[in-house]
Amino acid sequence: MKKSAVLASLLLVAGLVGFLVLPRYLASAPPVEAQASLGKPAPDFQVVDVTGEPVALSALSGKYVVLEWWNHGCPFVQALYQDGKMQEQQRAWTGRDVQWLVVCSSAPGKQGHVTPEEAIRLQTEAGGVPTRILLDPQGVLGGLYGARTTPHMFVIDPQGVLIYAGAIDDRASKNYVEQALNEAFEGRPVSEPLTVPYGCSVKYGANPDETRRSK
Amino acid sequence: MKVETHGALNPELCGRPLDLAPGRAVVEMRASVAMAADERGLVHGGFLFGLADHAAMLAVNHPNVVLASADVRFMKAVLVGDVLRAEAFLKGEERLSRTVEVVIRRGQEPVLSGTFSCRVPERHVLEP
Repeated sequence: MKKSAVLASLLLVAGLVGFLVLPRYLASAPPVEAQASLGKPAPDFQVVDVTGEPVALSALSGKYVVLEWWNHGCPFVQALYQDGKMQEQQRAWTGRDVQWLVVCSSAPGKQGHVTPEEAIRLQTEAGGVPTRILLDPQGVLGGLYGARTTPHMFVIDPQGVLIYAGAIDDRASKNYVEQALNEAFEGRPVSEPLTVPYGCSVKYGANPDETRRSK
Repeated sequence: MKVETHGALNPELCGRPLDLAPGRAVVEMRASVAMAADERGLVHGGFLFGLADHAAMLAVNHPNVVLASADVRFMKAVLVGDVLRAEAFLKGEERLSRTVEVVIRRGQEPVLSGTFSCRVPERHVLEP
């Protein structure tokens, strides 16, 4: 087992949350190593959203930011949207000026890969109300944050610090993102800043480095 | 018609009765993320069995009914989010034994069929 995976397991077991290292996941992997660490400044990024508008994390300073990894073909994502649970959170928090960014890291030819037009249509049909939709077919953004599943959720505070990473909920009644944002808005530390995400693996493209190493 | 058995079951895990008549029951359940067996959203067959069993119990609808055995065919994979409807029909009755046929469908498509052999003892199985 990789050192990072062992470390992540130990941190989970011990309940220590000061540091986050996410292992590469399954055969397909993003082209960059994860740089997101809980309690540390979230990795900055500059991308163009589905409407062609540039989006930079640094430009969102002063606001809470939620990153939601999305794949419309993933049954877990479909179930959350059919239940209205994701849209409910999007609606509630964007109404409080939280910047909710939906990110699709599905590579071309992989499940969930969409064009900008398809992304807008699918989110609209599902009743989604994110602030922005970001396409990341090269998996760079997914790699920076170590996104492993759809959904995989990250919350960044107004100072740009990563304060939550993990699942949207406990598969039952507790919504971890809602809990984290509620606590943060009340000026309290996030009580469960790191949870194990569940869902489909992010459908990254083949990583040339990984392919070379495996030969 | 009043539900006489298995009323304490969690509808999120075993389905919600939609229709109940003598010798017939319809129970519906939406496969939740808690039922997933893998990262592709495949639902564990045990949850389908639980839904089918619930429908079989309600087709008998006696406070003491229990399952003795079952012969079940899993016909199609079920995914998280699928809406499933189990229909159960009482096919045979002999002394304390009841035979119930169950089909679970996703829309029009059958995903499970089975024969459930039930017993209706004179006392609740937990009573001495």
